Amino acid sequence: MSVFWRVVWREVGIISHRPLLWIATIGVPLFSALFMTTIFGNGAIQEIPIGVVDDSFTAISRDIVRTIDSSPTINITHRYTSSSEALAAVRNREIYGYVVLPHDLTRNMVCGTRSTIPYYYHYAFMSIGAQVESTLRTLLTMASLDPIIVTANEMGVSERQIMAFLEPLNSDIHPLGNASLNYRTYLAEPFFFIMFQIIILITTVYVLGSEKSHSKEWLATANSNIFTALAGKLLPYAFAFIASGIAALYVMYGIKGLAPLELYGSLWGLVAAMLGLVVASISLALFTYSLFPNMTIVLSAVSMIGSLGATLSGITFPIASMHPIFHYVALILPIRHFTLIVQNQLYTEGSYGVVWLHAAILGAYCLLPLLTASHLHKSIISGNYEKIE
Amino acid sequence: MKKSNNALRLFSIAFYKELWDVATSLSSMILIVGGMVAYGLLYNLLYQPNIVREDPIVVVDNSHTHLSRHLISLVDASPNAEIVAVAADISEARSVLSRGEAEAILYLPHDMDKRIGRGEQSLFVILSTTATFLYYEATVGAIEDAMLALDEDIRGDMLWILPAPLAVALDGHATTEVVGNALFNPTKGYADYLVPAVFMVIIFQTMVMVVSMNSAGRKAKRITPMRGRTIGFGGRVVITLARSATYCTIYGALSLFLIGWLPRIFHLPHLASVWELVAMMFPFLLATSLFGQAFGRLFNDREAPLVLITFFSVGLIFISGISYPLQLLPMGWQAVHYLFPIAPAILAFVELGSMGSSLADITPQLSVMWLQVEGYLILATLIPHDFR
Repeated sequence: MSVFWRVVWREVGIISHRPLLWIATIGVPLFSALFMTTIFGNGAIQEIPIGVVDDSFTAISRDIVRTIDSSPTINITHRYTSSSEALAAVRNREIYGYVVLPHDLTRNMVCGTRSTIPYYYHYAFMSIGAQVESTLRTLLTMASLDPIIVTANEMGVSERQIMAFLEPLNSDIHPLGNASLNYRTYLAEPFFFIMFQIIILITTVYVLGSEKSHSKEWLATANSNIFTALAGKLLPYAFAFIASGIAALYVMYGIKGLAPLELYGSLWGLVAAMLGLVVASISLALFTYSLFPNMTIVLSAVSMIGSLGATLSGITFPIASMHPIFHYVALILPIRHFTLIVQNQLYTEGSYGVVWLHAAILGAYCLLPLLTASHLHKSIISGNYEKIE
Repeated sequence: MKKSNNALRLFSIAFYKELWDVATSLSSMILIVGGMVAYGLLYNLLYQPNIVREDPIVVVDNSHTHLSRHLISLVDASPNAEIVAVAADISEARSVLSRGEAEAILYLPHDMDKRIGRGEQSLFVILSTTATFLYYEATVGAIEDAMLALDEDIRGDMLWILPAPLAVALDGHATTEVVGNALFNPTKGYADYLVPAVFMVIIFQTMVMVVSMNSAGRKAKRITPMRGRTIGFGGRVVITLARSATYCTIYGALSLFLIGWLPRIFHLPHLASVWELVAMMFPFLLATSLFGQAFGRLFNDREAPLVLITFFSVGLIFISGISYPLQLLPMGWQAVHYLFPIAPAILAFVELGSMGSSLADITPQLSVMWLQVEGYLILATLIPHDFR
């Protein structure tokens, strides 16, 4: 057996005795994939409870209520006699929004006097509030035109004609890549990979640091060659994480019972990007650890770097809207490049020029540890960093 | 009398011992200070713009009329959108999108003006990426607002398409205005929405990391405050509580900075009074520190708990109910909401700080956290551990 495989074999022996490493490399990724696939139900935010304050109480106001209730997104669960009662219900999350139909609404609508229908939505819970807002805006705009359409129909004017008068310009909206604006399609896959890179960063530092008193024996197995020692030690984990990544993609896109995510790009493209993410994350962790080979401190550092991925991947809040400094800071993280590659494929039928650039950067992370390998070698021999608590 | 004196002594020994351990451990200090101060500042700076403005849009104008130019200028004037490029056709626009230079395409067909001239409804097309929902909402909102304004303008010129009696009836007929109002976040700020929740996650994550690390480390090193004496169940409870008191003191002090001071500096919602915050933070910090002790005792080496904590902190936002309605989470995950102190704490903090609710309004969350305090105290005491 060559020296390299001796180191690999030694590591496989260590893994087999440590359940924690099984959990970290296989259990956590699969749990994360299951979590992200099931947490949003079917992903279409449906039947958000909302309320109505109907002060008008006429046939027209009842029609408006019926129109609102017809949407699958919201569900009128409560009726209130006053706005303050409805506001109190929003406060304790009984409802996430409400519509007020003023007492003079019907008269104004019939007479053509300007009137307003106010509606309210919970914006301390922004993602839910935004959904309520856009649904109510569309439905109420439609409902408010209804009396005119009815009158027009009675006079023998076709719906097409009256709509051409009421809305001469109209838009046809096409959400690219996620036609039904499904929450699960939007968040499940990106957030799985955010969790995935965190566990890779942390596990890598943990296994490097766990050598402690055995580190001299580890180096000896590799004939004192730090490159062989590192490559041999980390290969089994890279392999395990790639296998888990493939299994997780299967959980997300393959299992019928879990209502698989809609996949707009190619699955092979995703697998390739995942491979890049695994290797880049391991390299980044190794690089950070080699700079300052103390496990606890580097664990704290990479857990913070990893958690930042949730923000700096740019999935929830666009990086372009942040301070320019963060446009560059984000590029330090492998997850940012991964996200750009995947989104480019999923949402814009990507141009390969853009994808290749980020793919090349992901690949280049492999080179980082070369810069610091000799520092790591020296510190393992001296054991200086281990003493810091 | 003597018994209570003993308990007090045990409490203070364990308290100071833990405080010393934390203060002399560089990694604990990095997590606590780095987490509470550096992270607190960093997240505020990251979300500083608060609102997504100027979503980049590329235009394909095949109409080249006064009407199409008017629509384009209205969209461009909106604070939420910006026309960054003009493309000759749809495939050129698509390539602008795939280079990442724009997030949406506004396509105005050649017959846009003609259709209106003929008295027909005129359609134009919006194609928007959905990679970031905030962008999508900003684009669609900006374009629809521009469209509604134009509709209002054009309507007067369209009366001729209607039969005379209806045209007379509708001349000067105002349509009903639909007015939306954002409650508890009138500027619709993203930071106002997310950063309070992130604060709670920072506290929870770093506190569980430090506490469980030190709890597991003690097991590994067999460091105990009362060498050589056997300690009964009551004593274990005292020691467990004393160690929690250490962390609650440190985190209580730093919380003044994180949730008391930073929201004022960065103009985040801060409607809660100091006493309301104390009443809410006390059970949260206590439950979290007890959870950390119980969790740490499942491991044999100091760093092992860290491996299993961090990855899930991201998921905690989703089970808290602020990003997705709690009622709509599948049943199993609703149960998880009640297991971790962080989930009720996020709700309670948002209700107090952002919505201006009173302590009475957050009674359900407070009750859940106090139940967690009891549950994790029992677990932390019962899990086999070296208490001598």
